[in-house]
Amino acid sequence: MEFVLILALFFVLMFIGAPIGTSLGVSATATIIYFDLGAEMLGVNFASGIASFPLLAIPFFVLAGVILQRAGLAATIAEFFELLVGRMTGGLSIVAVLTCMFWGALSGSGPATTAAVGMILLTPMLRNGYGRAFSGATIANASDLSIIIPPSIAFIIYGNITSVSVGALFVAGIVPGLITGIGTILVAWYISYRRGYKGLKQRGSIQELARAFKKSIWAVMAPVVVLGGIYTGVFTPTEAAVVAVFYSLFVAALIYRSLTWPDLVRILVDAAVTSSVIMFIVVFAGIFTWAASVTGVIDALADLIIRVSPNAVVMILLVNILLFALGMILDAISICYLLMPILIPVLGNFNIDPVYYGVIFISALAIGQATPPVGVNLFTAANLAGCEVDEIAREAIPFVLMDLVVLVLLTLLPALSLYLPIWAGLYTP
Amino acid sequence: MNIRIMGIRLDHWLVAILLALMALIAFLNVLSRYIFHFSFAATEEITINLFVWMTIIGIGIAFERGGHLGMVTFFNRFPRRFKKASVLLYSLLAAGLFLVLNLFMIQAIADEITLFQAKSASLGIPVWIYYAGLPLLSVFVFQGIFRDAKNRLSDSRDKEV
Repeated sequence: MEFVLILALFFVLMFIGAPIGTSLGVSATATIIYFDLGAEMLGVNFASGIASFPLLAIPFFVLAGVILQRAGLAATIAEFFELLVGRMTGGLSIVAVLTCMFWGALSGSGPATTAAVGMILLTPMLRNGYGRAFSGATIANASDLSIIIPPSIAFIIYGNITSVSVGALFVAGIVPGLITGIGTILVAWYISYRRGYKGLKQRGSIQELARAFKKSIWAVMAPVVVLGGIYTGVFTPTEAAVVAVFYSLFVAALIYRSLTWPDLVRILVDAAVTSSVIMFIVVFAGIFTWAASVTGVIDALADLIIRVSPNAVVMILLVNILLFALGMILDAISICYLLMPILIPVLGNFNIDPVYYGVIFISALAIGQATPPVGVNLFTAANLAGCEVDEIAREAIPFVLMDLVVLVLLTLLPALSLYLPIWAGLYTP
Repeated sequence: MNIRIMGIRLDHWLVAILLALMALIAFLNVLSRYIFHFSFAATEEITINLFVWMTIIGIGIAFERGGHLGMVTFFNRFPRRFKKASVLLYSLLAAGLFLVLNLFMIQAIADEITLFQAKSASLGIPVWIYYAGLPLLSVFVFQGIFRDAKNRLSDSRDKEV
């Protein structure tokens, strides 16, 4: 009975357009109070749901990303890639994918990457004859990479729920991120080739390339500092995030000289608000999960999944189908909170490695971000490109098919995810 | 009714300062540990509690900006009057949610001051001081929910300054 109340309330609220955090919070709180499940702890649980050192990485990574964006670093990176590969067939679309991959290594959120790269590359793409919807779809899909390529907010959340090392997850995401990136480039290139999207005419001389490289070297160093620190075990992800903040500040203020004090306040406010939007969902999803576990719905669903899956591969497939279905109505973070508590006992039952599964789970979620109707990246891209979400969604189909192929690869070959973190000594299965 | 200091809203100042402080304390911690081999990790406790405070104000500003994520697929197809009723309903529920959280938090604070008098694990600060952030700063959440509802009900989004 409890569980009918909690799920029904949640879906009704989502249906009438309430924010996800409100829907989770209200349905959980109503259930907790109505069935007397320990309501007096609600206030304290709200605070303790936020007060966690690993989650602190979220505002810091967001802040570092906002600083680098305001400093105009995306343009610098795009310029460098333009000189490097701009002349190839579909040059600008490849530049867009590379810039997104790179931006993904600076920031951990898909829509933020779509916005940062879209604002810089959409206009030149349109001017060079690329289709509006194709340009938007390329950028929206390439931005998915930012939640697979570390640092990634999704991995921080996954680690927080499953108590798996976030550092190990970050490193596990590197190879899958690169594979997906290469796949995205191939699709963009092939479509450009078929439609005759030509490369840029002017060629970059070696001197120009060297100059652009020198200009972007400081940006290029940012992920090296952050990931290098985590990789070698010098920093925890939260420490790496705060180092990234001060590194970005140093680059923006002293190297690019593109930061003023009023800018800084605005940057801090925007970063705090963006991080709070995420935490609003995180904190109430936590309370929702608590209520749901008391009502027994979590154990029941875990049992169900175990009973209907004859083996691990079928289970992963089934859950992926569920992920696509949920991805149509929910964002990546809520899905993480709603599904992972159910899946932890299931993973244990099938002896599935949680780091390996983390990469699969997050990759599947990433696909969801570029699939309608909720696909947040699609909306951001449609806004920027000035066309309908449906048009972009149609152009996104080849990219999504490629993503699915990569997902199958990652599922069948655990070493793609696990080799690096084990080799770096960050993880022992 | 926005209080402004040097042309910037009070709530904006507060989130900015809280985030800056968090970053600064955490950074000094990293520096001291790796460069001076001296750890004042106890301050971690302050950082994560400032994070709680920052998040509460940030949630409020995000409400005002209409920035919280939700599913609008069905909402966009609703007739106008149904849209308005929905906005009214979920805004009231959101305000109610924070009201409930605050009532229980105030109860917890009262218990802490009179009964338990618990001190934080690493710095020995009475925990109710950290707890007090929720009832005090929730004022910005209610303000945000109210302004968001007002904007959506009047079909025009007042430009946030």
